[in-house]
Amino acid sequence: MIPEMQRRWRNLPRLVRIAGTMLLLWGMLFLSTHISSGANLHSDGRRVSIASWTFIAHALLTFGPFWLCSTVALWMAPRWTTGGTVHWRAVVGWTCLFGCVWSLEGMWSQSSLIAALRFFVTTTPLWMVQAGGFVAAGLVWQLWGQAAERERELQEAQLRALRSQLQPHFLFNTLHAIGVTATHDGATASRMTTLLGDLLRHSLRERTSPLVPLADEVELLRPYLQLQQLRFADRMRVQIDVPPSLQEAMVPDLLLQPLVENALQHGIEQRPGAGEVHIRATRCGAMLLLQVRDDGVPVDATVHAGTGLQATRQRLQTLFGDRASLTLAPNDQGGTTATIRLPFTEARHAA
Amino acid sequence: MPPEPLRVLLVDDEPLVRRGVRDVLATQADLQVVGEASDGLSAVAAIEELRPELVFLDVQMPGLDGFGVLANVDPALRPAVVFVTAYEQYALKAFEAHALDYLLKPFDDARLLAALQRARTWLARGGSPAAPVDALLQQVGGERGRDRFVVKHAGRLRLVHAREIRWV
Repeated sequence: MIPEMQRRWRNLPRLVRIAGTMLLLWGMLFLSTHISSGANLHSDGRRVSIASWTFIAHALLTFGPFWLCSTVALWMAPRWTTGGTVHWRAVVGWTCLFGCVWSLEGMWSQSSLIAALRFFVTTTPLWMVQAGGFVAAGLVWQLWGQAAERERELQEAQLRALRSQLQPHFLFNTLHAIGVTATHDGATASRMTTLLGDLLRHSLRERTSPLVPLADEVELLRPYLQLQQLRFADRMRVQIDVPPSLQEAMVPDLLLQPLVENALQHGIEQRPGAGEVHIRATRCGAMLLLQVRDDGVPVDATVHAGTGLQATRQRLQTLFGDRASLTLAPNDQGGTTATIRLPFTEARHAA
Repeated sequence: MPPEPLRVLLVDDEPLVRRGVRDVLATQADLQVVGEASDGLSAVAAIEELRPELVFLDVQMPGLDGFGVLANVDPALRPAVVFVTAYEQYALKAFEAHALDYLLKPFDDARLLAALQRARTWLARGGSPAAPVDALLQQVGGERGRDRFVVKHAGRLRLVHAREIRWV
């Protein structure tokens, strides 16, 4: 029943939802003032009708500011919210601004400048309290939406990362390689089946957390790399360089996969002769640096916004905002280096 | 059966795939694998130098892809082509490039031998690879637009004309 109501509410147009919220808030305010002041709603008809007109007028007047609050708050939210909580500056800033603006409304009707100023000084705090409520409500409104959106984006990005690990052509090529190997080297074919099994099992596993220790992420790359190594035989060398101190650093699940696949594609598959892929992790202060370097054909970083890399970029943005980045740069000696920077956290500190 | 053995070239960047095809072809007495290439440019050079009659050609390769290889070969030396790939989406393009067959990985000996048989028949009937290519070119040139479809039938991909489709 309640989830159904929530769903219907969410499906209403935004303006209708804001108007509904406004009427509800003001309706409660109106009722509570009249009930607490002990006014008899039947005998004091005139007062009630004036008050109800004031109530409607206020509901209409606050509709605009609230709409503005929630819209502007959305625009400011990335800077003013951290990790899903409203930053105090956002609330104080908007509260002061809207408190002052709303108070100006009453100043026009004052008889003198002094009276207007006195009115401003005495009523502004009251308006601020009210505005504070609206601002906070607006921000919370936005954050709810953002949290749901963020969750959805994360799931989609994770799915895309998964799909890139399970590219159909990779599966078909590997199956074919196993079939060929089986005819002359049963032991290797069996090994390849095991590796493919590891890879599939990992891909099909249900995910509970978006972050995993770096050691696990590297471990999961191994079956993929070994299979590719068996396919390309002497044409491919892989070096993995993760110091023991960084084994427990937390990274998004399946983060390296698209980068490594990309390096193999441009570093090895598209160039004749042998190639090397170097995967390296380093720490730079509060940041963790992950680099995947190939020595293949140089890649145009602007043209080369492959879907796998785009998904990675979007995932970093969703998880860490502006604190993480993915860049592609050509190497001096040829080839490309993909670098991911993200905040360094360890398993026991991770939320 | 041609008096001379059928001259075959294998082009694939994966050594394992070449080995697989080579092993199967080795069981056939009427052909000879004259060479192998692991990227597009050396494939063009090998075709012009070794003059194979039939090429098993990979689509995705370093440098120049399979279609690039065909575009860069002297039309007079153009061999019969069987594409070998894991990508289904190139099938239409492959048939437009006059491939005799399109082997989708993973494939087994039987499918490879069936493709080989098609090539044998086609070469025995046509003699010169260029003639049917010209006929096909005219046909394709005269009918632009989505009037041809790639259909998977009995484990093989075939090019079907829209006018041949009775119902969907």
